[in-house]
Parts: sequence; C-alpha cells; structure tokens
Amino acid sequence: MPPNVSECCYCSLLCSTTSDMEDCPRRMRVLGQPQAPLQSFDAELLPRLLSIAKDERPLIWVDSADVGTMRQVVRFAESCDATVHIGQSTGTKIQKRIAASEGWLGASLNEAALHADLVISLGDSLAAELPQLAKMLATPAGAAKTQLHIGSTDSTEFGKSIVLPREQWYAGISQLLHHLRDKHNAPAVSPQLAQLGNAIKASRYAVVAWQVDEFLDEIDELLLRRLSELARFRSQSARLALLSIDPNPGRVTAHETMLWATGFAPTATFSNGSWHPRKDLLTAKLDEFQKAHSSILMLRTTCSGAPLPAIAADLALLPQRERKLAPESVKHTFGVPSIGDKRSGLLFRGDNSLVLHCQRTAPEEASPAAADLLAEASQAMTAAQRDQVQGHAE
Amino acid sequence: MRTEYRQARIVDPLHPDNGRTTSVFIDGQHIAVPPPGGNSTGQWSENIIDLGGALFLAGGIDIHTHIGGGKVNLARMLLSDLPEADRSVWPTRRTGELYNRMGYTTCFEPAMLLPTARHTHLELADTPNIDSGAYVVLGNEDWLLKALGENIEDAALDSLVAWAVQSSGAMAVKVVNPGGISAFRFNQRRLDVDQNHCAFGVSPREVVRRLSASADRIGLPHPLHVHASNLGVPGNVRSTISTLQASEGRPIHLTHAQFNCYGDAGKYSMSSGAEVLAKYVNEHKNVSLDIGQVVFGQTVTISADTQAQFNNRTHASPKKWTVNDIGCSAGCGVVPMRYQDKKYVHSLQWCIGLELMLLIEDPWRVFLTTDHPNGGPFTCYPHLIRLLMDKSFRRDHIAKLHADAAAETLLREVDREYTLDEIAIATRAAPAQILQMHDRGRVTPGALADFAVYRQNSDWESTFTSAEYVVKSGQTVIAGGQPTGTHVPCQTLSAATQLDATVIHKHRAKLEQALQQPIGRIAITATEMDDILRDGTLASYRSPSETAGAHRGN
Repeated sequence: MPPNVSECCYCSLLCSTTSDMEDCPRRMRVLGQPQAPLQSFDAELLPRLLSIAKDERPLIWVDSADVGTMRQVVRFAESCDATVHIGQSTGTKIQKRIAASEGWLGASLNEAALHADLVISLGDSLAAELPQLAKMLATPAGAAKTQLHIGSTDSTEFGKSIVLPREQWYAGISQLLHHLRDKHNAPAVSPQLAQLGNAIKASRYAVVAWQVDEFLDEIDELLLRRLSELARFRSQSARLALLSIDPNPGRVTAHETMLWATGFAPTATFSNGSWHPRKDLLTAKLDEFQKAHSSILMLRTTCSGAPLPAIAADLALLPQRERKLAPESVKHTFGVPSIGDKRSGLLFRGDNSLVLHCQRTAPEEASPAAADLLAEASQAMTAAQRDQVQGHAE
Repeated sequence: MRTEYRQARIVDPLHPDNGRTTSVFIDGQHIAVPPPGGNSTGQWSENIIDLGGALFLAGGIDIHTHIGGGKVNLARMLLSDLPEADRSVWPTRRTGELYNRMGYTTCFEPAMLLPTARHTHLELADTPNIDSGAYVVLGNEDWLLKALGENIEDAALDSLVAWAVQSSGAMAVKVVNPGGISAFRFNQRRLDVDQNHCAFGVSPREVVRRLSASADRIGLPHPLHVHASNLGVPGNVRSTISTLQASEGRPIHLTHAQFNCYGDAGKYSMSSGAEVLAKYVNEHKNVSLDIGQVVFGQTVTISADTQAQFNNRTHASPKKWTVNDIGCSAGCGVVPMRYQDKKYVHSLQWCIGLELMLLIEDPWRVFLTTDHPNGGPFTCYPHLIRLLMDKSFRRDHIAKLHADAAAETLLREVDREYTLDEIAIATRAAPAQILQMHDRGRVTPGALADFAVYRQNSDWESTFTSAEYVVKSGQTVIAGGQPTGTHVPCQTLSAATQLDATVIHKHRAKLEQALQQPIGRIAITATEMDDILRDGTLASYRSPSETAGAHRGN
C-alpha cells in the first residue's frame, strides 16, 4: 500500500493529497518498483565525486533535480569547470524552436481548468503520464466547457474522443486549419474534423493540451508548428492557446534553475570564469556526449520510474528506490533520498506556472542528499584551488 | 569591523555635511556616529581608506527592475543565442555583479505572480550582494475582480490584499493593466479606464480606486504601483490621467510612465504627452512615478500585460516571441525589441522619458528607471544620468534623432540640468523614502553601510559607470572597480501586514478554486524564505501609519 502522504511529486501535477491520490496509477507504478537493498554510506563517495571533478572534461548529466540540488550542481560545475547537461525532452526542444522562429501562444493548467470553454487534448500518453489531469481539466466550478480528445484509440477520460491514427494527426490539423481559414475554398473535412472545427469556431477561449514526451520527431515538429499556426490564426478573432505539460517535475525544475543560474540550458560549460552554451552538443547523441567528456556524473533526485539513458557514467546518484534503474554501463551507483519521500525540495509544476515546496513524507535519512554531497565536493575543490594559488604565491 | 573613509565628498541631501569633504565611519553593518576624538591616530580604527575627495553616495536603489521570475527566465531562454553585446537579461549572478559595479545595493522586482512567487524569490536570492524584494501583481484575478464586482466590503478586501502580500512575501502591490489582462482572457480586446469588464462588470478605475485605498488602509510601505491601462497606445495620456485620478488623492505610483504618456496629435498620430502628465504630477503631490526610459539598441520587453504584448508581437525584433496566460491572474509576454533612433516612434519615446524627468519639478517623486529590460538594460543608467545632467550632451543626441520626433517634443528647449544632489535623490534617497526604508538611501549615522564611491571623471557617464568602491552591509564587494569575491548575506525585504483570518477562511474555497491549490501550499512562510530560498534574514517593513485611512505624503 502506498504510504500515507500529504503531497505527490511523482508526476509534474504536484497533487496535494486526497484519498484519490492513493489510487493514482502513476504513483502506484513508481512506488511499486522493485527496490534495491538500502545502501549504507559509502566512504568512497566523496573521493569518487572529486575524481570526476578533477578530470579534464567532466560532465554532469542531470536527469532530474529539485532547485536545491540544481543550485549545488551549478556550484560544483563552477568549482571544476564542468559541463552540465539536462536530459531534455525533445518535445521541449521543439517548442523552443517554434517560439524562436514563429512565436508561441501559451496557457497554463489553471487557465485550461477555469477559463477555457474548449479543451482539446492530444495524444495517446496523456492519461498514463498525467493520470490526474483529466480531473483537473474537468473542474466543475470552472466555465462550462467542451472537452475533446484526439488520439489513435477511443478514450473517454478527456471528453469526447476523436479517433485518428497517429500518422493522420498532422494531415488532420492541417486540413482543419485550411478549413477554418477559408471554408469556401478548402477541401471538405471529415465529420470528425468538422466537429472539431465547429467547436473551435464556437469557443471563446480554447486550449490545446498535450504532454511533451508525446512528440519527438520531425513530423511531430510539423504538427506542433501547425498547432502554433492555428493558435496565431484563431487568436486574431478569439483566444486559442497551447499547453504543453512536461510530466517530469525534476526535469522542468532542473531546466529553470540552470537557466537563471547560468543563463543557458540545457547544455553549458563553465570555463574561464563564465558559462558558455554548448551548441555543438544540441543535437548530440549519447555516444557523442560520451566521447566529448572524460568523466560523467549522472544525477536524478525525483522519482519518475522512467529509464535512464544508457550512458557510461562514472557515478550515478539516484533515488534510493530507483537504483535498479541504473544502466549497466554505470560504474558506481549510490542511492540518495528522493524529493517528496525522504527529502523536501522545491519543484516546478509541468506547465511552469507553479512552484511548490514538496515536503518529505518519511523521516529524514541519515544518508546524505545529492545536494549535500555536491556541496561538500564543491567546497573541497574550492579549498584545494585556494591552497594551490597560495602555494604558487609563496 | 571598523573602517574610516577619509576625504569622502558627501553627496546626500539628507546629510548635514552634504557637499563637503569629510570622514565617514563604518562600524560593522552600519554607518557610525563620528567618534568624539576623531581617528587621527587610528585609535578608533586602524583601517583607514583615503578617498581623496571622491564622491560618496548611498548604495543605489532600483525600485522597478525585472530581474527575477518566470518571465525573466523565458527571456533568457528565448534570447540565449544573441551576442553578448546585445543581451539585456543575464544570469542572476551577473545581474548582481553588474548592479554592484554601478554602485547599486537594493533592487525590486515589480511583477511577482502569487503562484510563482517562490520562483521570483529564488532568483532574487541567487542575485548576489543586493538586498531585494518584489511586488505582488493583483488586479486581474478572477476571485478579486468578482469580489470587486460584487462590491466587497473594505475590511474584507483589505484582508485579501494583505493575505496576497503576506503569502507571497511581497513588499508592495502592483496592478498591471487593471482588469485588462483578465478581459483579454474573455476575448475583450480593449478595456479603457471607465469601461466595464465583460464578465465581472468592474472598470479599471474601480480596480485602481479600491486597491489604492486598500494599500493605504493596510499600511503598505509603498503606494499602489500602477502599470496603467492602454500601455503603448497613442493618446493614452488621457487614460493615464484618469487612472491617477482614480486614487482620489491617495498616494499612487505610476510605473514606466513613458509608455503611458502619448498624445495622438501630429502627422504620425502619435505625439508627446509629457507636458500634460508632468503638469498633472506637479500639481498633485500624491503622485509619484518612475520613467521607463527607452535606450537605443537591442533589448527585450517582458511584461505581465499579455494584452499589450500580444499586440506588440508584430514589432518583435528579432522575430521571436512568446505570450502566455498564467494562473488566471496575469500573464507573461516576452517580445524582443530593437529601439532605433531613426524610427519616429522610438525617437519620440526616448524624448518623452527625458521630458518627464526634466519637467517634473520634485525630484523626490520621479525615479530613474528603464523598466529594465523593457526600455533598455539597467546598465544604461549612467548614460541616462549624463543626459539629465549635461544639456549639451543631451542636445547632441537630440540632433541624431528622427527629426519629426524631436520637433514633436519640448526636449530641445529644456535647459534644466540635474544636479548631483538631484541624482542622489532620484536614485537613492527618494526610492528609499517611497518604500519607507529608513535604513538606507542615505549615508547619515545609523544607516546601513550600503554605499558607493565614485571617482569623478571628465563626464558623468564614465563617473557613474563604475564605482571605485561599493560596500554592502559593511562589506566591500567592489574595490578598485573590481568585484572582491565577497559574498554578503542579503535580505528579502517584505511588508508586514495584518489580516483577519476569518475573512480568508470565508474566501478560502474561492481562492483555492482559483489557485487550484490549497492556500497553505501557496503561502511562503518566513522559515521557508530563510532556510530554503535565501540564507539571509527576512526584513519586514511596516508603515508608520497605523491608522486606517491615514494618508501618507512626502
């Protein structure tokens, strides 16, 4: 049985407790993972961290982190001229590219729940990744709203279902856009798309929502660009906004923290006293990351149940309950208290419109948190450098 | 630790030795009373720094600068590929360093949203060596507009406003396009001052009237901070005056006034409203304003006013932007902008900001800002100071502008040059006063040891670009013009408020429905602020006015 908890951060909705939470399939999935035996403190941990720090081209691969841990990641990187990379969703990268080339009209979960009179959800993975989302969007006290869902299978969780094979989503949205723009000359659309079009035309404030990991390839990017175009077109006469939700709160949090602390994300290197973006690594594959760096620290402090990238890290700091997820290529794994479990921490919600302090729900463990370890390593590195400078001066 | 700064030329209108060269004594974190016997033999302190007549001012205070929070981070993301020279939004550490270099030690983020207040405070906490605070944005929330539309009682409104300030750890309340951001959500594309919101039936005038009264009654240290309706719209000076009138004589602060100071006359149907607005401000002592001066070059506009930013997107340069509705309370629009002196509108905007600074007579009520980064980066303040102090320099620049713009304003004819004292007032003493921070903005004994020393150069811009020394809370952060690497524990400044808990309890369901969170999760406690967000102390300011309805004046 899941422990009695006051908050949940196993998906990015950061739900506060209700009795329903304990039936949340995502939460059950994360908590139900087979766990490795509890790890006792490893005296070699700090030396391993320092070994990474002293190497020529260290990389800190952040899978997820709370604010406190990410602040320490940045300080640690600055103490040893490291590169920091946040394992980012391709869907997020696509969104950034669209904003940077065409503009972006966005909304938040609260807007969708309370103001939108039409919510169009999109994708096949929404319910699995964000199980409580349907309930949030269907807030009864909000504006009377129509909910439609586009997916490749029939689903009633998010309202009336429009079933379209995935490979037809792009074409369907394109046809819809042409139809809305020029209903006289555009080719006729299917009854399902006509229904969607009518709903959009009748709406005052429509939101199109999806979870970011749904869309990953070039065709997906075209689809999202079409949605962006739809938002810009519709917003000339009414309101239509886009809501992409990252289901991983630790990933959103790591990204935001890195951005304000370094000025760049998801990949940057500290050298010569300042941070530099790594555009050369923007489209790099895992093995290219591997080749570019002489030592790698992998880090995750929020539980997600998601697999970790198969990168040959020298050390992986993972939530205690997810140590078994470490790829075989990782040389050493150490379990740290995860946020919302045995450590408290600040996390961003997946729509970036809320920051909450997720409190621990179990007694604090004696074993150090990732943030503590990184802080200790940073201090050791800084002290060593100071000694070196003083030694030279003498 | 004690230090004597000798041969300091005091620039502080509140100091009895203003204009004279004398010694300043620092003891720990404060400026000390001069020891009775002096310190000629080092008996009080052996730590003596001879400044050789350099200018000695209090640390600068920026009352309106967008340096922390979600929209600032969006700007970082959107513009991270710009060359360094074109960047006007930096990582937090660099922001603190740049402010310190100019001699600034206190800054306020003016647009903090209730749901993302933690994000704002995190970024401010990570901006080193400056005390900071933020203003919570109110005036577009469903729960608030509905309550105003239903004519909520004053006492209940006061508790709700106090709750918002307390929960977010804010210093003041800011209203952005009152009711207009919300109206845009309902597809109402325009909301003039006396127009009613299509859903809640309340006008911007009413929002300003009620909120300014509430801010006054609950004793907030700063008046209602107003981003007025119709920002950027030609002819908006009329609605700006109406907005100011809505406060009914109570203190009110108009922010980035330049963007709300346009007439609609002339060949381009856009002209300067500075003379009209300046006259109003001169005649109405309850009004203060900060300028929002435009500076030519690349910058980025970041604003909670989604209605204005949605319209602004067509002017984006480079062509990228993002406009988002956030949390049913406000929004965040990021639109890069390149202000060019050959463009009529930009030249006019440049003129209007300076006109306002020069036509408004009382330096205690007009503050030098660029609404960073909207008008330009704060690093341009020294350039603006020179424009204010040197009319010859100013006229040289006017000659380079779009000719029609220069002809549309009075700027060429204005002879006034700001004095050093007036600069100290506009950038130090007056901001401290308008925020009722009695421990700073001056270098008199008892004040915080926040000060900056400038070596006077051939012109005022180079003088103020780089301070020779900057001391924050008694610790030197800039020496010889370079950062010392000292990290000073700084403060989050916030207002202490009182509220009636029964009112919050009564409105709890509505608040939680609007926020989609239990209100206990939204509220930031003092412990959280200290232990998690920042390593300093939470300093609370309380207005000396304890009487409900008492008016504060200068």
